[in-house]
Amino acid sequence: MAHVMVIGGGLSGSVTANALAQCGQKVTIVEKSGRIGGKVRSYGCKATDKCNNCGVCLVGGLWEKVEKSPNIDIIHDATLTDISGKAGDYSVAVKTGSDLRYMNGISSVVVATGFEESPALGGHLQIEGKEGIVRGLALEEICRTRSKDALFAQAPNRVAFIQCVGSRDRKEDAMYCSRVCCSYSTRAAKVIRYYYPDCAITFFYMEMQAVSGGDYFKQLEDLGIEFIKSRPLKVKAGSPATVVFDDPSGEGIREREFDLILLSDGIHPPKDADRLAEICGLGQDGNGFLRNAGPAADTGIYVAGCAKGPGRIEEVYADALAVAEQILAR
Amino acid sequence: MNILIMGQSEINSVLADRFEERGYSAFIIEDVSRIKAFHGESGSFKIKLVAGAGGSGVAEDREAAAVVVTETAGKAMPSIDGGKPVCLYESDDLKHLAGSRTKYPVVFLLDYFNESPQASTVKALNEARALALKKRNVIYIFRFMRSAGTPHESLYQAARKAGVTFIKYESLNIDYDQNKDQFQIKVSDGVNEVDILTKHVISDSGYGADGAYAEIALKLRLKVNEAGYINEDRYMLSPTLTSRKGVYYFSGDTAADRISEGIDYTLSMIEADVGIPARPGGETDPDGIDKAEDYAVVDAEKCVFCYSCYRACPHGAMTPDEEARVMKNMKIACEACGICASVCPGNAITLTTDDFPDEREGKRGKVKLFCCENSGAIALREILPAMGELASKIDAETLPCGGRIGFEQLSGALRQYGKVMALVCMDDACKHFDGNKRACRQAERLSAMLETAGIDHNKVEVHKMSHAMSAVLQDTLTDFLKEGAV
Repeated sequence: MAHVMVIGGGLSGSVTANALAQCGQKVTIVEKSGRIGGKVRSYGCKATDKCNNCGVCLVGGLWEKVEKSPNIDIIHDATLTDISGKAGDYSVAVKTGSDLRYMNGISSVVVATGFEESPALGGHLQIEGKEGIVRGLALEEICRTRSKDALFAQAPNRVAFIQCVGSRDRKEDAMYCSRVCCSYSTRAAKVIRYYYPDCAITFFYMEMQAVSGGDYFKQLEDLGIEFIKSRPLKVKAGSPATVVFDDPSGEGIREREFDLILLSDGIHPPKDADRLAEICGLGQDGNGFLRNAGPAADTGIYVAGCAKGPGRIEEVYADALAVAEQILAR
Repeated sequence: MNILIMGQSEINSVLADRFEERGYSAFIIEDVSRIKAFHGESGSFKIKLVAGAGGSGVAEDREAAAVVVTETAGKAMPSIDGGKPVCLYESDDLKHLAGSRTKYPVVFLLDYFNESPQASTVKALNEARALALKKRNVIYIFRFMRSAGTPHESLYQAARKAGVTFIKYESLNIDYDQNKDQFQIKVSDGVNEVDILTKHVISDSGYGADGAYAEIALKLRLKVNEAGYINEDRYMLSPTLTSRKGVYYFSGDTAADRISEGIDYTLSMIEADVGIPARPGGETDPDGIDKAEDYAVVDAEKCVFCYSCYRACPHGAMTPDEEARVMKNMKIACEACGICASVCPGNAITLTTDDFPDEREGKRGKVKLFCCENSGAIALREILPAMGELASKIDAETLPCGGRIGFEQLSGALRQYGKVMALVCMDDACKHFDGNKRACRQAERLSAMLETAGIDHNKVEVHKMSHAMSAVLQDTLTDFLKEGAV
């Protein structure tokens, strides 16, 4: 009886586990926190008067399905410590609290450990203080807890988005684009405009990623969103908060005040990526994301989702299904 | 699902067991004369059976989704020009042949008159080889070598090694000399012609239908082909099909090692016709709504075959049945969203779990909530614990899509509940195109009617939302429950 172990119960882990369970496979999810769902479970709706296709709805009923599935067993507050044995018949050691639990007869392992959102080294942007500064995940939480009339506790008059925080960043040693930030931040901007029609919204960007086809950016401009092509040097907390940047018009270093500064955090490899790589016999790419060293079909160890690199919700969803299919095909 | 196994064959109980293993219930009828009437179509045959043999006794009605005919063909050996060949399947005669010392060659004659079944080829190769090993002169005349398939590939080689002579014939002429009790065979393989004189011809040619299927064909209204069999002309490709959809043929002649395959193949044909995918065993419930229970059903009487539902279905779950001129729903693809029912001009489509709310007491002070399973239902589950007392005032029903919320449901709910609200997905987020908009239209329609009638039209509300903004739902519900005499 094939028994698949999925490390991480976030989006990719849950989608893979669900797909396998539906086909009658036995699955165990090793989840480091007390609840599956990872980060996506706390993401919020970015609809205005209609859906803005952020992808969060794709997985609405997923968590409950996984939690209730008779074929899926979830071990909470657990981390992977060791994999031994041979391909197709692994013995996996999982640490829960002070206990070390061994599970034998594991036919495949899926590493779906997701990503780290804050830049480990702090990155290019200097951030002083906290007041008035909202990071990416916090923004998602705000969207999720939006009430009928209000998004923020206090209606803002001026809001700034700073793109590529921690991504495309030499100082952070993360020269890649995180793929998702332009997507979620512009959608969040639409929501802000929906709640606060008079609020001024400014985007500090390097290049804007293509979010969707058609006239997406024209729509944003029509909403009155200001785009400044400059990478800020510093943000200073306060009420109001300040963005320090090099004005692209050539007037030198300038400061502008905003009620809220929203930082578009990206996707970075998990903090313990190298430990995972060693335990699972995986390689890492130049940026630290996990990668198969040999063909997954041979080793039986797969990587799914953002553990192997940045991806949007719908991309990770498809990837997780593809991994499940590969496992079923063996 | 009931499957009827009809016929006299040793394979019946094997088939029945295998069907039951797969979750179907099988019943066997060996005596065809017990069937008095046979009506219906694939998926729902109705059979009138009498208890007694020979067609007498009390009649009872039985139902079956599919019929598998296993009647074994007769074993009458027709003569060839007056002479009687030995039947390939009569082991006694063959043994006798093996024992005798004869100067005549032993001729195995296959594919004469009709093509032989594979079982014959397998048997004949084995027997030919056995005889050749006993130093008989064995000639094997055939048209097709049906030894494909791993176990049999080596049979042909083994027979050749043993010394059997193989002649693949293009033309064949057999005369029987009554006086000398000899067969004279003139056979040509298209290049050479050979004359064979022998007393011993082993054939399976009579092992044919010979009227064995006549009565079954009559009762079940099946076509019989030239050789007297009920499997269609395409029997090489689809060996289990007959001329009637829902009635299948399982050859009792199937070689023992191919039976399992044959059964699986037959089952897959049955399941394909009835619209159920073959599952390896064990039910799964992919979407939390038992697919077997919630799907669209087309009333064949009302369907005018206009293709409206076929065009409208976003999931490709409607399939035309050209023979019967009706549209059929494929359960496996059906998401029970209700679009087909809403576009059908003839009102021919119903969803299996459509029903009206019960008339029950004590609902006046409550609010009925129709929730789309993808938006409202999930958000509601999240906020109910935080609603405190208000939660007891809510009676929620989950539906696959807002589009299922019909006018009758909304107005029917108003008969019992103080207020009704529908929670559906945002525009562009509905998985079933615009089920959410259909719910809005129905609610607006009802609201307008209430207003015309002078009744408070705020009793009906519809809200578009996603599950990832549950606080909005909490606010909305709190307001809804406060206002009005709830």
